[in-house]
Amino acid sequence: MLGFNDYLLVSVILFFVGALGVLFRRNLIYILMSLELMLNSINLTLIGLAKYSNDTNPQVLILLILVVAAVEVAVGLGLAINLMRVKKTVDVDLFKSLKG
Amino acid sequence: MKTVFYINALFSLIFALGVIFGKNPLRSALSLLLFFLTIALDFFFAGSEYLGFVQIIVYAGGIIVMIAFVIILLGLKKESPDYDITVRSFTGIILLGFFALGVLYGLAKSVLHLIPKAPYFDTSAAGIGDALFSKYLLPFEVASILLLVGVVLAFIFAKKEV
Repeated sequence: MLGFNDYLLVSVILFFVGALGVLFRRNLIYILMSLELMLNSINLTLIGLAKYSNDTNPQVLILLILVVAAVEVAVGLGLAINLMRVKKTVDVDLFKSLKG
Repeated sequence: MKTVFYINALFSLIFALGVIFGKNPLRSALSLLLFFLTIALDFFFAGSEYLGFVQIIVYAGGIIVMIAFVIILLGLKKESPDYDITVRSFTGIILLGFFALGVLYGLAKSVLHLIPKAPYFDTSAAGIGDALFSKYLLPFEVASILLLVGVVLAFIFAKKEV
């Protein structure tokens, strides 16, 4: 029988894969894609919770997470376009203007 | 059911690894698309068709297209591996490992069977809409404002001069 723990295990693993991508890649586009991986693993947890507790509330939360993910990727890609125009690169290690 | 779920999970893991270890950005974006489809399949398995279709429409139809357009627009080429293994990210990995151990320990000691079960499972679009427009009206409106702010912000960021 498929329980909530199975959903949790899979989404923890996927979350770590996404976090690895955020930590190790230097390309801004890859970092954005890894963030999407992490948000989707959260969605997987919530759908497991919804199924397990027979509840509607986690599904509403999934819709709200979807909105946040869409806004995040739109703003992030706009930023990437502007950085490419100004600095000619999307390598996040080269953006040091704000470093104290 | 469990076998099918884990086979699907294996595919999501493969596609997720394909995203973060890929060298060609466009190919990574396609791998991300397949990852989103496996997650949508998970939604279907859980009996929530509405969210599965929303997932496909928003992620596969919206976000992936946006990412692919930006990759093409910026002309990102296949690049040499750019893994950044510094002291900082090494520390991050170790902390992540501890976090993973904590989560798995919590999983082993789980008390989640104490969660009360609702009498029936309303996964229809009507049920979600009911909750969204009565109990969750304020978060819904906040989300719409967030979308508006996001649109304006993305426009300002992508303009010629900031």
